[in-house]
Amino acid sequence: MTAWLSIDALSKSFGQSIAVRDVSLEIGRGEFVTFLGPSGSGKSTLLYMIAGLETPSTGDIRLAGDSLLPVAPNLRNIGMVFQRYTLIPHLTVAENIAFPMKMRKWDRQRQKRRLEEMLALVRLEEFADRRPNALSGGQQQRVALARALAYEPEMLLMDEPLAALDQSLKLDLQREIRRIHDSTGATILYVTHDQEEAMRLSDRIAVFHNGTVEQFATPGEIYQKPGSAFVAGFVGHSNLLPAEMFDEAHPAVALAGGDSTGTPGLQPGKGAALFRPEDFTVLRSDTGTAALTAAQTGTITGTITDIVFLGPVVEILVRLASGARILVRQAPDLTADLRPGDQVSLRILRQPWILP
Amino acid sequence: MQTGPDKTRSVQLPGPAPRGWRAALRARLEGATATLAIPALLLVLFFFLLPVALLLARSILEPEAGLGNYAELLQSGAYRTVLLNTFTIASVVTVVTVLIGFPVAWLIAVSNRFWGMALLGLIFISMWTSLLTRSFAWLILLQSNGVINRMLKGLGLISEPLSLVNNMTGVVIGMTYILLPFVIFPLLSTMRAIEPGLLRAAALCGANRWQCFLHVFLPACVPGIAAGALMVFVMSLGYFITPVMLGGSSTMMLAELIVHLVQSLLRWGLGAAAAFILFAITLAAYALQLRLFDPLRSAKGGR
Repeated sequence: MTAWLSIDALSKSFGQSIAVRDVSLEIGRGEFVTFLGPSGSGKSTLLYMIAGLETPSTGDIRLAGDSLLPVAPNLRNIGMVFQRYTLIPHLTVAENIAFPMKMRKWDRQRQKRRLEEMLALVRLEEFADRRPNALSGGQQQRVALARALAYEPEMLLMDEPLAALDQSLKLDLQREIRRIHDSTGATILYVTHDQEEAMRLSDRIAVFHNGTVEQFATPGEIYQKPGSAFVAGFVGHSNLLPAEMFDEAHPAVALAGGDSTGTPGLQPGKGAALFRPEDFTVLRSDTGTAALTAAQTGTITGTITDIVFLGPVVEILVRLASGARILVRQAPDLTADLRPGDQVSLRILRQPWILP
Repeated sequence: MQTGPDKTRSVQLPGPAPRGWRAALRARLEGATATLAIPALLLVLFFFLLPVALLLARSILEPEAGLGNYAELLQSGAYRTVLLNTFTIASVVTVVTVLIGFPVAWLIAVSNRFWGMALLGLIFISMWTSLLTRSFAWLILLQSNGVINRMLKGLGLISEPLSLVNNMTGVVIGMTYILLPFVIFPLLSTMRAIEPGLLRAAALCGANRWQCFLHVFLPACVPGIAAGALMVFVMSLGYFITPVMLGGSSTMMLAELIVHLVQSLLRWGLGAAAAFILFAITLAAYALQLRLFDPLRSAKGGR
């Protein structure tokens, strides 16, 4: 992937507090990149700097080799969708979508053609003459999306556009955004604190923490091979157990506190072993000894402390002998006979990811 | 019936039983909204509708029944001039207060907390000062050997003193100054309610500063401008002290005329007719504003 948008050692401080510190990212043309992180992690500030609404303290932003910093926001050719309240209230839906084209003095025929395309794209043809406050939140965000895309910007920035919407609408619009990305080929930078949304939408995710990027990788890598304990904890549930690996001659991992296990194929080293909740099968300790023997390597034993039924899965909380707690997710039919207090063995299905 | 009515009702109540006296009170209040409005309606009836009705009655009954008073007011050249003066001064004052008030409100809206409060404080202090004092102050400032004329003369900009007072200029200056807050306050609240995100979004749509102002900010301010302008216009129509003090014999306004008719000429019927004309113009201005900028309709999202 050749870099199209380069963010180079960018920092932003507001007085004493540093919002973004020394962030460098290379983003390819047409990529869908999500900035994921808790609030206050600097993700929105970075987006605003790319939009030109904030000025970086140090560093540079380059688009196709040229610095964006001297360019005023209205000349950057960037579309942006905000969380809410940015449609011009006294203009109709059609006028709002046409607004950027009018500002750019496109000729009327071209405006009209593009407006029709955009209304079709966001499926709001019959709402063209309504005012924004006569639309639902989801419809308003679709108008904002159409307005941001209308003038064929090189880049589309989205600042938590779905955060104010309810869950089912959110899923609809996520699908819509993904479809629009596929059909327009626009480069999209998307800010969210919702990890599921980030997973669903992105080609790559940049995980933000305290103003820095902890990891910039594909959703799969972020989930399976998180670069830090923060990433592991922020994206999905993580069971982290302090671990020490033997060398390659002894391919096993010794978990601290006597919860030892053997898993084949581990690199030597020291660190924390990450298990996702779906990395285990729960077996009752009194199941046939044959099963236990077969699972000799790669099992951890413990006591069930809690069972929560969630519909598609059941969450089982297991306390290990060391006192560590492990959250396991299982299909409901596999857990019908389990009760809190039961002694269980957790068979490890995948080798754990060892955090650096 | 053996059981008391209360007991029967408590047995037959559908749904959850009311919890204590609060629920009982609420239930009783919900059925009684019209009844609750009675004190307010009585207030309006006695202190507003009744006097207006008396005024109207007087204007058509004194000195004799008929529309003679109105005919005299509208046909006499002198009275027509007064009406025209009133209208002209009110319109000019409205336009000037909006032109000055808009940038002032904007300045307050974009200032930081300290300067915003300081500017508002200045406006409030001047508002709390007696109307009479302020009109006198302008009289002194504007007279032919007053501060303004002497300064302009000293700078060599004029050779003869400008006549700034005892004419329409003086009235407009004084009334503009006094009525300015009434356009600044509604405008300020309108401007503060505008989402800053709206202007950022407009900028990212490619609008430069001027386009942002013209296409987004100014239209969003229109309800505030309309509210402030109506307030100033209506207040100007009935203004008395300032026109009397800063105006001349040729700039008599309707309120002054009414006082003159009632106090000096004791023509109550004619005075009442003049007052009623003022009232009608005010209502018409209000109706026009409602038609153009109905706050309820725009809140519902219709066109």
